[in-house]
Amino acid sequence: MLAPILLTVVLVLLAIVVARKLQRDLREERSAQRRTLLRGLLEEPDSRRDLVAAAACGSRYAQADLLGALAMAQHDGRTRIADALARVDRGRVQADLRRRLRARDASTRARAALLAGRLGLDRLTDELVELLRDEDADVRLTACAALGLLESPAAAAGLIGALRTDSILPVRIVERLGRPWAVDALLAGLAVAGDEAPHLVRALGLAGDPRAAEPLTRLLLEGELEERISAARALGSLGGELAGAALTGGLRDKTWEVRAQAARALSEVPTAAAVPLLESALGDANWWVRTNAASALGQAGVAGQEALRRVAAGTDRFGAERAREALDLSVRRQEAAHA
Amino acid sequence: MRNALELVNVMMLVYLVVLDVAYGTLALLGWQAVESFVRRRPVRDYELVSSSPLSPPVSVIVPAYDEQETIVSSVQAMLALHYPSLEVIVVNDGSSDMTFDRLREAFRLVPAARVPRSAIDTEHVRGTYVSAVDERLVVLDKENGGKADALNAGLRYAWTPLVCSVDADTLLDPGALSRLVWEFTSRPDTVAAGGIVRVVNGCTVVDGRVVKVGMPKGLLPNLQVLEYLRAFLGGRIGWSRMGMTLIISGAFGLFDRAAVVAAGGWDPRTIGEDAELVLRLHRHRRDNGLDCRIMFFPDPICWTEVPSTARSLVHQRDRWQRGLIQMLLRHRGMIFNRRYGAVGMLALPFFVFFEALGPLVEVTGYLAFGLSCALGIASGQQILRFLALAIGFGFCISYITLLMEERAFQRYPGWGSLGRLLTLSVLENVGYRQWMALVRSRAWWSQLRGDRSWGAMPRAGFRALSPTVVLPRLELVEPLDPLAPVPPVAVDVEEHTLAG
Repeated sequence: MLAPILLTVVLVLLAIVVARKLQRDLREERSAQRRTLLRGLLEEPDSRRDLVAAAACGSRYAQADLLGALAMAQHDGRTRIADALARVDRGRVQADLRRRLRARDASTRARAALLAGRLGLDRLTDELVELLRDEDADVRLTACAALGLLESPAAAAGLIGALRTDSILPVRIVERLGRPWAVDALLAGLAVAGDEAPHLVRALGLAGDPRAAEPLTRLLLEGELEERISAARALGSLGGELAGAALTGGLRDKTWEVRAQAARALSEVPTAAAVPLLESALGDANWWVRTNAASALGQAGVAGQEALRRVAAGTDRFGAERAREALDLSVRRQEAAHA
Repeated sequence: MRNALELVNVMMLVYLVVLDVAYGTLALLGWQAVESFVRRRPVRDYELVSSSPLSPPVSVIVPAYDEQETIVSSVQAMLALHYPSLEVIVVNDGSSDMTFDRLREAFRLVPAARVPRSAIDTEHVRGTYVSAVDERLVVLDKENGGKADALNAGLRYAWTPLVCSVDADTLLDPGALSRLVWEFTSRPDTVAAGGIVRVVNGCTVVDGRVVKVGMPKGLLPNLQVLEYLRAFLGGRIGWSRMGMTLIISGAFGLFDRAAVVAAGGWDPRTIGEDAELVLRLHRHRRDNGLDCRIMFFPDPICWTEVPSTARSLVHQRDRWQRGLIQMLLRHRGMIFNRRYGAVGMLALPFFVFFEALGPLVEVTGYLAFGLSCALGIASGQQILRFLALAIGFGFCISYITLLMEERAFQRYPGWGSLGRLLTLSVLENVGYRQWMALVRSRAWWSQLRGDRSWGAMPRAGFRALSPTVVLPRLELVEPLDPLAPVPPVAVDVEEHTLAG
């Protein structure tokens, strides 16, 4: 009895393998057609109705293709789709996505969240903020991504609020907030921030807005240890003269972590004024500070190389070792670049 | 005699039923996990992980011993990984060939002092070097101490919160690392994660990357293609679904550096250092009341060259089996120990009865059944029942695995590959599997004799598979951020005031 049953199972499985292969070939063909159509629709504003319809009631596969097409579309492409939604069928799409955002299946919730973000449906912001506390990690992260795509003050507020919980790793939120659109919200948030301040600082640095330089400089000088480290990193990302001057001041910090981070950040903000201080930092008591200062000098052009040569020929053994290594690397790097 | 044979046959049938139910359950759980993964794949923003300046820095540790044929293309592939904050630490473990010279020449290595971050004992490190063409490449030249010792040396010098162990003869898909890091950033309680390993034999490799997937030529590598698929899709993913991952392949695994350091690093005394570390992580974390999420991820792909001769395959499997036995003996205190939860109560007993002792039982069963048939003790019904349980169920598992592959990955496109895989599933269950049971049974004898040999495997090298091998592109990248957040570590050296 057992053998015939098992033989039947084997044959059925074999048939399913072959059938799946056939089905996949067919599905791939259809998917290719759909992707071609979507690409065409994104380029032809008159046909956007069909695209919106696909978003509203498409199958799982159609949704996946739409997500792919939207991901590839430039910002103005997404805006055009959002405009089309406003004119055509926004209510129905929103209602459909709102329902899916509450679905039992986590992947359905996540796909709906991403679609809402990519279509710019900011009326779903509250639902998306709620999903930041979802039980499923993928849904939380997708909601975070969607809010980042909405680029609205309410979305920024929701993301800043999530920094006060431990539902999502802060860097994943900072990545979304570290954009020019969020600077106002970040500056406002920083004024009243508690433990989340270092993350807001990091996001401000990533955003690269010049308005961030002043509060970051203040934090580098007056903040708590974590805030000073974050501020040094953020100023390195921010760049510019003001950031360079602030970081040069950071080399005098009482804590080695901040001095090391300031030296490290200065390699991203090359400034002639920093060379003498970096040269002094090669005599620092801490290995990390010396190494980072040597590395920054190695990237500071001719003036930096001259400073390294001076220290390498000096009497401070520890500083000289780091200087020789950085000089050697800097020269070889130049040779390699010329070669 | 007759009674004894009948008893052995009955016991064998019971054993096969339990084994088949277990494998069937694992395959179904694996299917569930793959299905969930496929549904979630479109929403996971791996691109963000591979481009964000805030992604956690990762050190890829590559132990290399006599790898002159493949080392340059392997390192090129690792430096080409899509990951923003990466350093590659190649540990030349006292190679007797030109491994170090090839690296020095290809990547223009220059001596550079580097301070150890962790206090882990290893053989003497003769020198540390950095590449002048790509600052992300660090090379440690050390006395020979074995793979685990080389990994420990890399761990000791790694500054980053995550470390990735990769074999020197392994090629990674460009997005493999960012996909594994995604696991760590989406669930911060993750301490280790591994991914699917596939067979590179038969594939086209260009500049250290697999550009075209193909089936290998010889029968043995072909059989291993199916075997790898079944082991990863039909086994490990199922265990991972239940939170009981016991093996992360040494070919490619990502670890929380602090957790590995706290657990003592890789154990140089064992030859199955990859699985042993995972088990020790389970033990250490549970002993200290810490979270322990160890994931096996269906997608991140790495490619490895499998043995193409019977001799090297036998050596490899003998070593794997000895590694398993050593690991189970060393951690026998965890078996049926409720303190270690499902790992102690379910996964480890399974590994003892079906993976370690399984080959012995299987060989005994085949012999007893063959003898029963020869003596006319077994009826036709019994023979059919035995074959159905011993072989027929193997077909089912192989076909379920092929379905999963078709559903999720489609790495072997075309009807030709499918036809070949279906044929191989027959050969694998009739002949190959029995031979492997014999080889693995023999490993018990090697273990009892105290054999600690590694066994050499001749490699074709990727150069032979690749139409072109080029020097690494000249790309100067920013060095790692040494002050990136690092979890607290018990034995870390926080500050060095002495140079070098």
